[in-house]
Amino acid sequence: MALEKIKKELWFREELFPDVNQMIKVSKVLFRKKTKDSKGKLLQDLAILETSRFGKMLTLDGIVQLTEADEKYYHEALVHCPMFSHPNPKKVLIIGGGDGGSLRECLKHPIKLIDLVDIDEDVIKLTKKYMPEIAGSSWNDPRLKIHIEDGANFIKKTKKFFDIIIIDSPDPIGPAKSLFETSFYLDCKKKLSSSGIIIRQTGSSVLQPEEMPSGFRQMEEIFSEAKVFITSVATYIGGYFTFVAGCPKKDGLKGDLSKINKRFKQLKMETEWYTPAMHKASMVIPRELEETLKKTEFGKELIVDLYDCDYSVITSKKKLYQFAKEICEVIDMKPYGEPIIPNFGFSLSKTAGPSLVQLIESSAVTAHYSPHWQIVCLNIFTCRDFDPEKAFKFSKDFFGAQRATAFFLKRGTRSFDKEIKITNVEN
Amino acid sequence: MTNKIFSNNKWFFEDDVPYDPGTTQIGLKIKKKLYSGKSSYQRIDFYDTYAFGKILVLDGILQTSEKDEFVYHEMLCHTPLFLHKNPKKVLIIGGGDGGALEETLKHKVEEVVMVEIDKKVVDLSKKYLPSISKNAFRDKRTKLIIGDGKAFIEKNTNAFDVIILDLSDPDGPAKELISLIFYKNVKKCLKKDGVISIQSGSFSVQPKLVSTIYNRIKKVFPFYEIHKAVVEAYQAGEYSFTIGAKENINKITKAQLEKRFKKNNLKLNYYSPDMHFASKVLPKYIKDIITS
Repeated sequence: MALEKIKKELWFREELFPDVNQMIKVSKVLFRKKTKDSKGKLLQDLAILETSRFGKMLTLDGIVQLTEADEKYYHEALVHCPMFSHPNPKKVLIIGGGDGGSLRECLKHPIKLIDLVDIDEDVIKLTKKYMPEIAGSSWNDPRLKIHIEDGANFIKKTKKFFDIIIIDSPDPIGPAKSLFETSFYLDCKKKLSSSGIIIRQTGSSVLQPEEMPSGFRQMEEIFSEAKVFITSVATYIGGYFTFVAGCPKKDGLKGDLSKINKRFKQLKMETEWYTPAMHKASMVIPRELEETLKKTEFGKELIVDLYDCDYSVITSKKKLYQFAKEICEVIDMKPYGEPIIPNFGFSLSKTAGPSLVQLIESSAVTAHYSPHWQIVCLNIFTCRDFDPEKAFKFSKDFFGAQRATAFFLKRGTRSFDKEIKITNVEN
Repeated sequence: MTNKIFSNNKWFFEDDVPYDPGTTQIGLKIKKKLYSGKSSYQRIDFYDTYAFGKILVLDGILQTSEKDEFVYHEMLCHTPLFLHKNPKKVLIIGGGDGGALEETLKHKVEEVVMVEIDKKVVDLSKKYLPSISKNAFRDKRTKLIIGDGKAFIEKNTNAFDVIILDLSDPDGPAKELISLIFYKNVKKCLKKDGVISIQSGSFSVQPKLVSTIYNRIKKVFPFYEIHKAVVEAYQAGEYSFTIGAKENINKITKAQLEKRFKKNNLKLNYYSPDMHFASKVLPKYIKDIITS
């Protein structure tokens, strides 16, 4: 973590994004330590800093986790959106959240039991000591049970079921990595009651643009219902801060405003960010983000059929080898190993001939050659963007095709029909 | 006041401003410095940055970025334009980068008058930020006047359906454009069902400015509201847009807005009728700022 002395002043520099740095003036370093787990394995670089602008601030591995000034806009959204979406939450699990902010918000609800699992005991101990303003007496609540272990292990082992699971994790680097994996969410689903709700953070909308759509798709595949919530936290730079919630019950995240209003009033809850109206407003996301949710795709595929090809080219192993190399350059992809170009399929006249498989670092180029019909059936599939027109033209010219047809489609979008683009070319 | 502490040829940091003495700064890594110079009104810089594309900087403060200008300009323009039942004549004060003009021209308006004091900002933005104004300056409906917005407003009465104040912070040339008298003149300049829209600063960094503008509009206009949006390049959490209206805008329903929206058939990236209403919902800490 970078603490820099500049003109006699101490500044904290956050370098989470290589092209955007956040500088926060530090008046005092309250505590700093490299934390370890029970086996002595290094966990993270923890610092608690006093700042003039945001009050006390907790950082892990050089990344802002929370500040006194704006932690409520994060914790209230993370906790109350799922808690009020659920009709009657009684058993709650928080994974991460060693600072106690989520715990404090959960305890504003009439719950029966709450389990908190954090891998790093020091986060709990030190924020309790140096930032008692965050959770205060919440730590002494008799309904609370603390577990110091990896959340992914806990969820596998536990025999309990939960109405709400809150994943209050840092970014998917360092010890929190397991909390982003699909196996973890599949395990969570098993421990969720039938109308239970799970919520997790999915990063900043502008500077981590792929996190939310990708996390949303992951949750949508696992749960019957997935919804995005947004909030704004000044020290989490990069646009809106996003959450994705999942529920095994269809419409389980709809949130009936009049019912939420009634409960909110009954509980006489004091909040800085959350209100039932904010709950609903935070589900309205910018159009651009809405579009990215609809358009999540795994990759793109170009399917080309080439007719009346140059016989000498499609029967030359040397030429096919050359094609494998050059097509990778044309689409700007890195080949993974050498191409495989066997000659087989002799049981039928039309299939007899060479085939080509060239793995590339983001998928594959495959081609089947039929000297009998003088055609080439080519597929280029990658999970990165490429220019289909360029690849199509290059292939057509390379094999000297007189006629060609091509389809370009997005893969992994759940629907092919709307995305198909057809090119028919006759010389 | 140039912030010489962090800025260098690799990183752009905004200057310190009076309302926020340097306690936090966000730096943008520079790909290339495109222009640096002065007009009779202000210092003007253009940079190409990695994270936000090309940016315009006036007197050390970031004004607009290629990457997220649409959030700012869509909220600033479509909010008042959809609140008006049939905007035909629109006035923009400031907005030299052309972004507000471009958004406004997406509506079926007859004329958009833009009064910008600094010709150099317009000329340089056309050159360095063509993706923001697109063809807006060449549109037949555009009437660009280089001059003082305040004087223009004083001279015109009952002339516009919508007035958009796309001004820089009130330290530079825009100083007098947040006064009560100015807003009263704006009201006169508007037709009887006119709507005004103002960029009114960041709730997080400029709470006093937001509160001042909002409360002055509240005094001058019988109907008013404030909208919020995160404009990331402004590095300042929630940003505010204040609306004043001469006729009752509170009665407008989502269905009505949706009808107007569909009629115009706009392809937008941020604004939607849903967002129009959601952006009016404020968390308590923001409500406290404008009621204090």
